Amino acid sequence: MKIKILIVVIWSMLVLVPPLISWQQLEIVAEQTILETLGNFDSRFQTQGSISFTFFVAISSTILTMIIGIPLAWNLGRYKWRYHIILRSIFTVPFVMPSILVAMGFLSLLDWFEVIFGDNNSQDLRIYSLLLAHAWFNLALVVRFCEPILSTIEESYEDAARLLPSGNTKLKRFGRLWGPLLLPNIIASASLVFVFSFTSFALVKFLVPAKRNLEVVMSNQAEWAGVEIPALGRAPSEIVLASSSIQLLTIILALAISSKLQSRSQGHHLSSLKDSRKEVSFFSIRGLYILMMLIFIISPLFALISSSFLVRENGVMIWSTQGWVAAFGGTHSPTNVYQSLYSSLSYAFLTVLISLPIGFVLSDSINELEKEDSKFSTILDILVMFPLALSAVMVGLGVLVGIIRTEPELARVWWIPIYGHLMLATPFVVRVLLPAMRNLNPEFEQSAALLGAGYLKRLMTIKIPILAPSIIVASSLVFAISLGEFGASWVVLRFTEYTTIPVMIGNILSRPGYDPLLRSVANAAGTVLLLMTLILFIGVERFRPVGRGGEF
Amino acid sequence: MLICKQINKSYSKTILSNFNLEVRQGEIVALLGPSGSGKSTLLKIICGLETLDSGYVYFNGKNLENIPPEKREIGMVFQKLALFPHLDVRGNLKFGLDKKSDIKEIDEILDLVGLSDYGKRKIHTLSGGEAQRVALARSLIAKPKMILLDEPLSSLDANIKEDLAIEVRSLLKKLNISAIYVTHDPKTANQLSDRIVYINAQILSDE
Repeated sequence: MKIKILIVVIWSMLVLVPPLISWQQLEIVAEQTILETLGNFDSRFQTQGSISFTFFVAISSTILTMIIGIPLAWNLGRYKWRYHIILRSIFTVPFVMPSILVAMGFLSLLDWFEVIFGDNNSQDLRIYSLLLAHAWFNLALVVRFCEPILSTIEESYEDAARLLPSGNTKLKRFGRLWGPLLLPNIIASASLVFVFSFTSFALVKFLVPAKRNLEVVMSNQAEWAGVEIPALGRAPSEIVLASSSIQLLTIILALAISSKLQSRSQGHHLSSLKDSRKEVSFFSIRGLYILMMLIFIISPLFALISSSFLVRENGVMIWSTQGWVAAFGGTHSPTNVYQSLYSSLSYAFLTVLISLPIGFVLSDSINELEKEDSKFSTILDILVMFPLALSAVMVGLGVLVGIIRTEPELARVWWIPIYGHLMLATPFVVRVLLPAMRNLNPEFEQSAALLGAGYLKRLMTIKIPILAPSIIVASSLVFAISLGEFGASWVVLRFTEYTTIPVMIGNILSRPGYDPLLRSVANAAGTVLLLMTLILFIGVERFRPVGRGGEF
Repeated sequence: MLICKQINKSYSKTILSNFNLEVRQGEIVALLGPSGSGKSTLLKIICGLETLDSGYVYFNGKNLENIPPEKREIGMVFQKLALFPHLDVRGNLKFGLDKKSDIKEIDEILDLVGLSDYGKRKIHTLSGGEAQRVALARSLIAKPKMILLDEPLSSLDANIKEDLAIEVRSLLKKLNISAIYVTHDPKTANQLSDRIVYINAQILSDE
């Protein structure tokens, strides 16, 4: 018990200390309290309209994602398609895609739109594409949360409802049976979609450069936040302090409301392990719908790859490999693809190596504390998820202001950015391993103990081998998250020599002035990242336990 | 009156072959046979949840071929009961009522199955026997002209099963509802039914 409490304390320090130091430092520089900075937040030119834009984007994206996602989850959950596993993998791949790739995919689609329709720069079109990109990115969450329950729900519910007056039409069955049954999962996925859309960074930054959400506002001010520069006054610190407070408060509120609503609806023993899906052919209306959704999912990725071979010359797109040559030659960015790939892979390997044991110990502790019915299990679970409530840019700011600016020498230490990756990836390790640990039959370990196996032997010969598929899933998820991490890395790494591929792409896209080759170079680097993420994802899907979803 | 005439149904193998059955108004027929003999399939064909390959089902003089399940006025209690877990007992019973129905009917039916104080109970808190009664009550509250029972007592202990079989029989007789009760247990079939029909793979006989 003492060791577990120690783990709670150590993790708390790791996740809480840098942000707390940052806030304190920001308050010192701003010479204002958080509440005071909120007063004139919306009247500054750097922040004007950012709160309403952030809420507008988050709410609209959530609604759109649910409108597109629920029918997709229904069709995957209630019907058995040929090549079902491949289909499910394709529909869930967007979630592991680095956000900067999604931004570039939709930018490339806008380019194609311009080639076909002649305009891609209207503000409305860019906002629609942002909302659609959020829906694309978050669709997998709705599928992961709703599909497993739909596919294993007791099949006689539908038949029973059909024979009763309150369920004798499809509409009535949806309103009174399926709707309420799915509600906890819909709420859970909707709240996460809201949080991810609220804290969206790369998509907003590159798809709608004329607008700013809170995340972009903070990133723009990060360079000068927490330091006293007389020429700039206190504004950067005040802005970051106010933005981060509004963001943190909103996210915590959203997650708390979702958790409350979910716990109210829980306690149903819904699903059987039996697969209750009906066979369906691709040659049907449903098949046509699935085909359209496949096109929706594949088109940004296809546009990204194809655009890496296109260069605009005199207003005309021509096929060329110049973008690839420039990306690997490093002519349009401080680093080339080889160097950035080396940094990306190094950070990703190290993040897996460190976050996996930390996540394992944290999951094991939560699981053991749950069995003891200890209140510490809830506290630890909240603390584990806390970095997700901070958002990537806020984690980056925590590292920058809370660590690097307290000891400027640390800015040159290459491993410092791993701290941000660890904070953002470890919660996912716990979300994958914890359900697997909860399902582990305790009698396996008990019988091994009775046969004389000590803790370490039980761990190595029983627990880890049984949990191996989940450990592999967690490792690749962490690897993919680290590989594609942009927000925190952008804040911490953009001016260093250790730029990862996403930061390299960000640097290329942020270069001032017009260069027709820039987009192709960024797309070529993006294609390398895309291929690596896809290989990882396809490799790991086979290890995902059947009928398991809900927790990534 | 229900008439099943020369019913044929096959999946990868023949399940029902030229099967005939008649059930008179108010009669309780037990369909007795081993697992996989097509008992449940027959019930699903009668209520319209499954289509037949050939043959006819007539109910009160009407051919049911093109009538959807929700309009056949036939209720069913499923083997796994299919009580909706997100609703309490009252909510499950309300599902069996249309909007015009009097809500008092819920109290009356709960009274009838001996569960007067169970309205607010969550489904997962019910014992096996209590859940069977709620499932039966939910089917009965919709006022079907016939009820199909797909081995709903199979998971109960022998003593409870015996008591409940007697209760179900007396309830159905009291309401004068025709019923087909599917089981593989001859004892329950005897206790509950007026007549037993044996169904055994492809060989069927009527006693």
